[in-house]
Amino acid sequence: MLFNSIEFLIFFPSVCLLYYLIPHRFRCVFLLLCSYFFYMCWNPKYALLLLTSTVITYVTGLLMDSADRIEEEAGRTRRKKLYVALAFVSNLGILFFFKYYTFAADTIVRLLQTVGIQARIPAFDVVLPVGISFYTFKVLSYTMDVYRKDICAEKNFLKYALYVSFFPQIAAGPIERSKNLLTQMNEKHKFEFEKVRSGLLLMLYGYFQKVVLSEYLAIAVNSVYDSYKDRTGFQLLLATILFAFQIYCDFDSYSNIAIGAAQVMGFRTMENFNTPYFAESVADFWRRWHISLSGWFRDYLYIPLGGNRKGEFRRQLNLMIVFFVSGLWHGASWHFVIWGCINGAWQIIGRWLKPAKKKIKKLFCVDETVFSHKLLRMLITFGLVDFSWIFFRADFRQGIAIIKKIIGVGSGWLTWGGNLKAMGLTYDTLLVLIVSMVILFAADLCRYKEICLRDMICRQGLWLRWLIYLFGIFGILIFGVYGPGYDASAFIYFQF
Amino acid sequence: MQKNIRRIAGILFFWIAAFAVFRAANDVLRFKVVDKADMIHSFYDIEENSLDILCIGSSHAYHSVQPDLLWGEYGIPSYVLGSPGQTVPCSYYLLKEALKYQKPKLVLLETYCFPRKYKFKNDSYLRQAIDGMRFGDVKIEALNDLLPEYSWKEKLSYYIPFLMYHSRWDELENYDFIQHAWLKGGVLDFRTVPQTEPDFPQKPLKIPKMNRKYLKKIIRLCRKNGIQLIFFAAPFADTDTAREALRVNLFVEKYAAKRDIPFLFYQKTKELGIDYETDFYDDHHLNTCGTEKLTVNLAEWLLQNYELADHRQEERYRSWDEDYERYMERREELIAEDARD
Repeated sequence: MLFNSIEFLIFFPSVCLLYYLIPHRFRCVFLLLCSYFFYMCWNPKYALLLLTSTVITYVTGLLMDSADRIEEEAGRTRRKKLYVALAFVSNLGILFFFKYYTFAADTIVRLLQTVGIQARIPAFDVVLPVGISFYTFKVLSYTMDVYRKDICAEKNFLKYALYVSFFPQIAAGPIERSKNLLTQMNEKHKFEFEKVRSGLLLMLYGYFQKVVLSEYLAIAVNSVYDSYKDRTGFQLLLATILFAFQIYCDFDSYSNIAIGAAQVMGFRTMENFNTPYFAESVADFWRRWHISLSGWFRDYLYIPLGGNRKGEFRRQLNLMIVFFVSGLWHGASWHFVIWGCINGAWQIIGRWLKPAKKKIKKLFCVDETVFSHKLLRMLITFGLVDFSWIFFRADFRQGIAIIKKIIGVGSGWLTWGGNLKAMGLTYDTLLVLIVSMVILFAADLCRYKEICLRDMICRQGLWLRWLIYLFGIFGILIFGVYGPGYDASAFIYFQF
Repeated sequence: MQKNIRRIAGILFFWIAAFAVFRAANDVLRFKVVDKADMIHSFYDIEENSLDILCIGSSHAYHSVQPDLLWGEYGIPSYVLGSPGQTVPCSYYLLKEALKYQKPKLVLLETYCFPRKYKFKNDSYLRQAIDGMRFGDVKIEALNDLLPEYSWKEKLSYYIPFLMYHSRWDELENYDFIQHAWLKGGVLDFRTVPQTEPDFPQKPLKIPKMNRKYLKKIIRLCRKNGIQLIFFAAPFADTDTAREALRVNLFVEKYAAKRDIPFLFYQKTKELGIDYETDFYDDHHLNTCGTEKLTVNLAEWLLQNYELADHRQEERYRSWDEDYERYMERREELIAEDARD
């Protein structure tokens, strides 16, 4: 059940209504059933995998809790490590089988072929279960938190199962930390008009990002990337820039709908994006992009590897390991790994160039506080990140061909009208796209300046508030890409 | 408590406002048959229980009967509930829907669609027949019957055509904003393409079984509502489908006679005085010259055979006079344009 499907538009209001109508003691079970129903709408069989991961980490959590009562430290640590290993191996094993088996087998066969060995590894035709990467990381974060005693193991299985399967987050995150969400399972959520309204507004904005912005951008990007061989360098450059916004709108929209939906039911969930294209460095970008995943890698991979505590070389190596794994997390394909490694490399190169940058700034007396300097940093960061997106969108060979074409830009710069048509856009759709991009920019700018746009809207007089709501709703209904003949494209991040 | 009541009232008013905006947006964006009378949708603009005659059928129906002329010359209020390629099953459901709002004395069913063996030719034709229909029991029944393989989700855009037509925002024209049902389902078009008269066949062709089933339903529906059903066959030029239609019309003669249904077989009686050089819009349809000939002849026949009152002096039909005036004005304009060309 996609957020931009008619089923969800029926499911969500019904769930909310019943959620507030039923007594508090039944709400957990009710939401759990709803969450499993939501998940099973994709493929009922995969609910078993979800349940398996839930049971394993629930039990290992309890076992770790009981191990904590062992007085002998060595024995306690040994036991706890065993349970953590059990949780990690089983969950990552499931993830590996469903997501990486074919990729790994293919890689091994190719490697063996290069040394002249013909090998055959049995193939399994499995469909990637929706959200497996998200909920696997969610349960592992819980396991680590219990291991580190950051939280106590949850005794109530139903509450823990709800934390894992919570329907707004199950398919594409945010990868919520147990410290935040699990504790809220005991809270009694009263219907609070302001919170519900604010959540709905966030959902509305999410729908605008997905149904209008992301879909129009997808038309242009897909039309160019799907036939990149016949495209001019300018078209490819433009499509690459647009893809940066497409993937942002697509993923941020899902996060906003998820956060908004949770808020409508009274849950506070973590934010997943914070104006990533206002970042002034690639490292800064990763603090603003997919925050829940970056935070996961920081807390459960980068820091355990030694983080930046073991010298510059280890720091850079750790960074590359994290981005290598991050690339793999995004997809079982080498182009995702390359994408991840490019992002790691930008940060390492950035550190190498730090002394040189310092000297240049000193030489030219650069004032780092002025807008022009910040803007330049933002543009350079965007360029670097966008370069890496090429390998996210296209495979390695295609990516190289696209870069070659972009660098060798020679023709096509002055044929704007032709480009527009070639990109599947008309002047009308371009106008809608420009207006939508302006709205996106304005909303992000407010967020960057720490102005809460939703609060600002809610403080306005009735007529303006209603006008904004109606513009929002009908803007989406009229200009949105949906309906018969439209293949309700899944959110890009669903494949992860 | 008072705060809660205020909020509930606020939410209620907001959704009423949203619904009003939705209706307005829906009206502008919905698909309209350009230069035609927006037949199905405009039907609901007619005052309830004000029609004496309802005409249903395919494009042959709305290219044959001109309601404004029937009103202006004879004071007979009528409407053509036609749609391109309308099949007998679609006609049945449109009639059933229409009878929820009108109690006509006579129903005229054009026979050109009788030979068709399908419930609808393609999605476009089905949509032109069904999309304009209001959501309700008849629409649900019609779609369940016409699209039995479709899931509720696939049928949703037929119930809420906005889902289909919202993307028309970049192709809107002036006529999308200014709508008036002044043609009452009829067509005003003097374009002329000379045609040849088809040879008259000897051998009748049976109406397909499926259509006979739906014709039975139409007959039953009319009898139940005390309505006189009349079949009529508009003239057409010499084409393969026309020859097939003529053969079926030969069968319709017997079929109708058996059931006491009058059948106006104009191509056989030749009473209209149709000129194949000047009275055709294309190889299938009459232009307004032909339509007016047929309408006048039809009116005379109806007045001779049925008790139809002249409503022209009645207050409730005031707008019909205005529509007739508009029809005449536009008619003159088109004739003048033709003369200039």
